[in-house]
Amino acid sequence: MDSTLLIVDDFKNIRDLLTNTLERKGFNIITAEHGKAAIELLKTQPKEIDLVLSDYNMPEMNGQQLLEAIKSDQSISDIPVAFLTTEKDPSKIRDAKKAGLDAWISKPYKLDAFINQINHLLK
Amino acid sequence: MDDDMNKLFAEEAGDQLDAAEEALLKYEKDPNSTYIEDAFRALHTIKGAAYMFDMLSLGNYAHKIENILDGVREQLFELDSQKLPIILNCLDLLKQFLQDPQLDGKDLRAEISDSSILLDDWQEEINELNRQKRADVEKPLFSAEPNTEESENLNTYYLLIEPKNEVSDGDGHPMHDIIAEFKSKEFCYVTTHHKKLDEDGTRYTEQIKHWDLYLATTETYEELEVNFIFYEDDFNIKIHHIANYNLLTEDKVLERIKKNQEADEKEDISALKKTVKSLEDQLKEQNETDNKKDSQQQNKRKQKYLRVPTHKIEKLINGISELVTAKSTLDNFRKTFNHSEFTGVVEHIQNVTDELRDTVLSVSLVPLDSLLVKFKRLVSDTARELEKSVTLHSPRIETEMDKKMIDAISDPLMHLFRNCVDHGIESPDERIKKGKPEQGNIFFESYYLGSNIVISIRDDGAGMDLAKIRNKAIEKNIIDEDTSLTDDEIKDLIFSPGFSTASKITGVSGRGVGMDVVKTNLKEVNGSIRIETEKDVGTSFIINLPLTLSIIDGLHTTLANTSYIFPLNHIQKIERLKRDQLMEAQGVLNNTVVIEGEQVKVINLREYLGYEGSIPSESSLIFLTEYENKKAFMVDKVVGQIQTVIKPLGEVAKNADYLSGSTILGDGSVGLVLDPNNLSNLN
Repeated sequence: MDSTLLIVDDFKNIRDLLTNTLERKGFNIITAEHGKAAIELLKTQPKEIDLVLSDYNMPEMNGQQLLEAIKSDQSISDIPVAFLTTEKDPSKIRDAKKAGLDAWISKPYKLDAFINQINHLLK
Repeated sequence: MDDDMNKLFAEEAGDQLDAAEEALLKYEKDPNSTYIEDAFRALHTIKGAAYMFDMLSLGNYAHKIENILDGVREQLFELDSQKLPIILNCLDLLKQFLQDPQLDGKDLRAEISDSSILLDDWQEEINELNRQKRADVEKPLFSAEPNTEESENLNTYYLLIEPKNEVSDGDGHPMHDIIAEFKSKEFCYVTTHHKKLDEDGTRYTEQIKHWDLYLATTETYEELEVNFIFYEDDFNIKIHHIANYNLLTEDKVLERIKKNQEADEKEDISALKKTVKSLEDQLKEQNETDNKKDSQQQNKRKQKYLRVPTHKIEKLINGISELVTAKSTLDNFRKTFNHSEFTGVVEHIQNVTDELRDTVLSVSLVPLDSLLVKFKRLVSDTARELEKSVTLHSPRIETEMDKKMIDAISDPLMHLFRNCVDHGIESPDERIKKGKPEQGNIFFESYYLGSNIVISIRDDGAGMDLAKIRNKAIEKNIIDEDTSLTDDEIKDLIFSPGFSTASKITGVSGRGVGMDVVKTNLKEVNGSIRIETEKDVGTSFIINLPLTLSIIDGLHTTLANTSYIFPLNHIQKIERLKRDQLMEAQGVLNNTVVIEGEQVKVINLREYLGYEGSIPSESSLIFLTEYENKKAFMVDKVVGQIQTVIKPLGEVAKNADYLSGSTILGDGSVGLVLDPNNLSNLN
């Protein structure tokens, strides 16, 4: 079965770009435009989502807060989470690692490397 | 969605292409290697972005051009006057490629394919040169590609990355991509050490023993370290900070790296640090001065921009337009109610709206110098074609305008530049004969004058021969032999359809639009053009444009209960006129009245626009700057000054060229906006 990725980003353009690119690479894509919607989706269908790809800087709930919410909820804490972001602050990256983040993917990424990374996380 | 992304990509890449082009044109004048570096980086970025957007063939084509520039960077050959045009042509093709990434156009597909073959052949030659150079110098050649980072405040690091578990070539581990990313940086030497098949043998497996990286980067230790923290389970990663400057340009250090690479050994950190120490003092001094230069250059480039899709800006402008209209309505209420607190609120809203309008309008403005690269290129190409030597100077380009306006004037300006190079600037021989410097000059300037934008294009060429223009016009049946014309009128003849003074049609002047189209295009955006010329000194084309197209300050007038708006920036003065005065005039002097000692021809708009009924006992005369004091337009009443949003006219009014648009007034009624440039057609 194809893997299903949940994309969380407040920008529609980015969600569309990622959806389009990743669907062409054979992934199923679900999107959420903020952290709250993402958690809602994860809770209602924890079995279906294999990986969360989230932006870091978002209004209201940022990536770190979303990550902490996911990791503190036992029903969904097993789902790997990666941030896809231009944020480069080392201390933020460290905090995210501590909270259980699985990968920090810096934008701009090369498509091949990005797909590799996703496949690695899905293993 | 795909279209949007393609557009976004095409726009980004287009900017990079412009940068590359500009750099190469600078290189033509001043063969300085930094320009090649700039062009190389731009192509490198386009290639990267194309691959990211899955546009492989476009990326490949950009890559070929990048490689040629790389050869120039490596000083394998020079971009001389024969080779430079080839590269510039490739950039042109790439520009078309961006608009049509799938190569649906057959011509383009063929051109790209031809050009690719040419680039491949060229690449072969470069490879050969490269092999010769290697043989000559016997220097170690590390696979080093430059990155796009600025080389300021570099630190040198040594990294050792050892897999804890099995990692092999091509197993898709993200670490391979991280290493590849480092490898693509300018100052990074990576060696991949593989495990041996047997202890003393020379055959290797695909399993990684370790990687070592010598890296000079702007990243701090912490920033570098976090690249790897997600892989600590799979790898032992050691990062050593070696120096707080770039060591990887030093021969001694490079030799060391090469030795270690060959010996398949890990770096002995303490020994490396010793080598470094001996170089330190001398290097530091040099680095400091280099850094100063670099950061100076960088400050210039540090302005930040946000890219916003045009349709969003248009939406914003439309919103503001509605707001401006609503503001007028509110103002009407204020007058009716005449309530002091309400008045206060309305005034506040007015101020905020005005400020908002100005800000939003300024957001949609594009600096005129964004066209400069295109023009420089055009002048340089045209001059080369005509075997003339011409430099384009742009001492003062300080204006910004609507994107629509930029689009509208781009072609006319191109034509004027071409005209200057072709007809204005003399051939080098002729110039020397006249005692002028061999090289011709074109000056391109633009500034604000009142509520207008002035663009001037001036050459130091031969100037216009008015007698010759007159003869040509007679020959072409544009005027009769016995027509008497002022100098200004003669100059204006070159804007007549079908006029050309070139004694032979060259490829240059034959191309594209004629001067008549220049004038028509400018008229479409409410602009005007005039010429100043002096024999053997040169010619100037001076263009006047209104500041913006969509919102204008206008003079609200009425004619038989219909509102007409005159653009305020065209109005010179307003006079009152009594009906009796006009009646008198009608009988005597063809509607001419005398005002302040000047004879003024009155154009009764009531009559011209077909309104019936008698004129009121007192009317107003509107004097427009175009007609000085010679002509005035008569309306019933001047209501006052308003700010108005021009909306396009429907099909019905399409033929009424004296109108430039319509507008909704504060009370909800419709006003018609007059086009001063075309009002003269009324008589």
